Amino acid sequence: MKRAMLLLRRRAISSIPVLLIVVVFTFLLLESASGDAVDAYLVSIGGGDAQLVQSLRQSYGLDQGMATRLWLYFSALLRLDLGWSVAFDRPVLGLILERLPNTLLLMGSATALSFCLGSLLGIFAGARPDSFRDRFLSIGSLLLYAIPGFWLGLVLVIVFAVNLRWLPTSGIETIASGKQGLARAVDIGKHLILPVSALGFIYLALFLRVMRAGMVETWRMDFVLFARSKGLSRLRIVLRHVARNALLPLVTVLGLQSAAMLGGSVVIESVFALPGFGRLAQEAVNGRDAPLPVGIIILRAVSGILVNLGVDIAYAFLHPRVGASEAGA
Amino acid sequence: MDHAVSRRFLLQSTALLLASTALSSKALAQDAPAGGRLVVAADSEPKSLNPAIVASNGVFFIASKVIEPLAEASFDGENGLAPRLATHWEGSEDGLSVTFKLREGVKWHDGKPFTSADVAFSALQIWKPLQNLGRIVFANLETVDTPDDHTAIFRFSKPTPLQLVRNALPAVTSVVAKHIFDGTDIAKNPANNQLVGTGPFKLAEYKPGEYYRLERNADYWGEGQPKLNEVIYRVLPDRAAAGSALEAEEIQLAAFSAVPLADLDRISKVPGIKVVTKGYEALTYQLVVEINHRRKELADLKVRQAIAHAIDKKFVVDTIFLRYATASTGPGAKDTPEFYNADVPAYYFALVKANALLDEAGYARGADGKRFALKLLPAPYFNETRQFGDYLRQALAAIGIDAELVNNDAAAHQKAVYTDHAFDLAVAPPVFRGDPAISTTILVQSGIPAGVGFSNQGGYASAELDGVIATAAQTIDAKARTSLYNDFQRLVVEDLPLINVAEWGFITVARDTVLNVANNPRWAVSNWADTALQA
Repeated sequence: MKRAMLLLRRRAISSIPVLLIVVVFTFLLLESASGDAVDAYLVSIGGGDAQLVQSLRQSYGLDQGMATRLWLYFSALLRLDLGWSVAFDRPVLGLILERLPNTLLLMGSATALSFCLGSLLGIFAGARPDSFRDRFLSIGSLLLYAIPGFWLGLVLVIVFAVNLRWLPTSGIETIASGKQGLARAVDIGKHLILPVSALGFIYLALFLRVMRAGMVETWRMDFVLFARSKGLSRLRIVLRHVARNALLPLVTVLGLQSAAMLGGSVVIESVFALPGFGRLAQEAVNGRDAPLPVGIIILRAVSGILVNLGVDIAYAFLHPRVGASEAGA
Repeated sequence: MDHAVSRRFLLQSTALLLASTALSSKALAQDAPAGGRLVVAADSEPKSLNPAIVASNGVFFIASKVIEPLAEASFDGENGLAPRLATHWEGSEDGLSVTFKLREGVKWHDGKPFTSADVAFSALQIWKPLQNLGRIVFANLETVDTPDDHTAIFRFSKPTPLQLVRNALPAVTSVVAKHIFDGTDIAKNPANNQLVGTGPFKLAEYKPGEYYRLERNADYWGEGQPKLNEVIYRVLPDRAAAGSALEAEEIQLAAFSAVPLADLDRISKVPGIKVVTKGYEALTYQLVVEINHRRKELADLKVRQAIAHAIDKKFVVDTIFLRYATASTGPGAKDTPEFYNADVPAYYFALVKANALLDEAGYARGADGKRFALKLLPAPYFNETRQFGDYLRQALAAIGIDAELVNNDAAAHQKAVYTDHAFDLAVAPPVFRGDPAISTTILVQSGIPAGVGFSNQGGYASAELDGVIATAAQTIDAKARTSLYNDFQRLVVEDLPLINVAEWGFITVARDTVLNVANNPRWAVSNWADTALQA
């Protein structure tokens, strides 16, 4: 526990400059894009005269210099105010909170699916390296990994929603159905099957390959030889010794994936008309709405830092050597 | 109506399907069944839904069912109009006033009566000072007199043609309630999104990123209207998603070409689905090549003529628009016969002539076969504008002009072309809105400050053209005014401040069960009071 607390303290201190860099860099990156929020808005309404343009720039605060705006943004951020989205004409925090559940549901299920299925198949493949089933799974997962997400999504829609009509084509739940409680949960579940499969099958390959590689590595270790010579059953060696040791890199990848997942998936969210972070960020960038993408990125950075911390703590439990130096310091 | 060749072709090619559905929906128009929920695809969620402030198709698509204009476009009405909140309108001889008789017994969705005070308030406080198009049409509006609850007299400081006011009525006169906006900061009023109108439907629910739900207004003034109980706009940002949802019968209608042109042929063969090309006649989009006249080469008329001769309009219509478009002759839209002038010079596709013109202009081919290089910026708003950019680059290469394609996203394109003038040629899709004075003359008129989108930012200036535009703006007599706009079209085609290539309306794809589709020239953005679903 002491090691975990020390880790926590060190991470908290080191994450402040990271966040600062992330905010400034994102802000400047968006500034460097040609055109501003007023240009983007004018396209959507079919143009306006010079006075309208001027009054819009004024009301968006775009008539002030970049340094002023960055300063205003920072001072608001210190008050934990994520700012106002001009593209949506709403507070950024509200938009983010509105999309967060959908994003977590979609990306969380997809990550969980790919992690569980991927690691199981990885164990299955890695249990007998270079066997037929290992080759088959390795090549199969590579093929899956090579398929573009949008294509897989569209094909799944055509087969299961348009032709077979087993599942809905898109959306997060049936529109204005009035469903409550369990019925609503089932409905949302049905809507998530296709997008989660499309996303999950692609990440699955990642977990499968990391798990399999870890296991192949572990088979060569001396302690495995020892376990064998001790006369342990193969199943016991695979599960208790090889797979458990191969789990460490998998936890790292899971951490990376979990941090990345908060960005949502522009492609899958668009194909399946799911309102998540990916689409929100894309619309915000198209609308040159700086506070919104910066807000999303801050959220991602914070969650990235937290997930990393979680991974380190998990490491400490899985592997006694990690963090030992800090405990001694 | 003037049916373009391509439309006829389309009608013939899908004759059976279309004929059968058109007949059945006409027969049922009177006694269409009531009830039902119509689910349609929406590709965008406007941040302000108030059509009185933002007169754009994206807003109208949803808001026109809730908030009504004084009059709507019509295929068979007098002057192409059907009454809505106004029942009669008349202009004075001197063009300084227009009197509207307003509909009686109309109620706002909150139960308060609709009166002339609402019209006066909308006109003076919103259309004229705040609305993107109203600022042009009502620039000279001074006061609105309201002698009684059902009469509104618009008084102008300078003569304003009734013809212009008439043609602008459907787009610029969405009436909002005075009691909701008066005394508030109009731009920030929550009613800009929680609409309160007089229309056949009430805005009941909006779930961002998912849907808008409109509910039947039981107190609507139209007898037996609306037919539908609910209209739901489902947000489907991916264009393939709209097609799949139609096929899976999750939605019943996709307007504004939400189903891509390339998919229409296949989807029209799916039983129970119809492809409708009508209903957008008053919203014609024009494909134009914008020209930066600050470039020495492009300031030469011969060079502009050469470019016009190098464009194969038939190829553009057949290959890029898959025949869902018509070749343009000039800045007047063929779908608006009131103004269309066919008697203008034609620039037929002729590479020999184009090359000769460039030689004449003094731009001989260099050793590498190239005459000069320029920057070409296709607008990213439509697939077709981008594809035409690719085509134009090749067409220019054939006459020795080396065009470098610069692809930007919407905001960057807007800034590059309309503010920074960082282009030589650009591809734009301006809209012809029923009258040249609304958004067409601005494309060639001089003296427009930088930063105004969809306007002449190419530095073109012609005293003659400016003169015609200024005179027409204050010509009261409709005949004289129309003839001035005939001159306008001829002058533009003769001098080529820009090159009109093609024009198109959008496509609606609907299930056969949707009745009374496309029964007016602004159908997708009209109130859908008579739209019905076959049980």
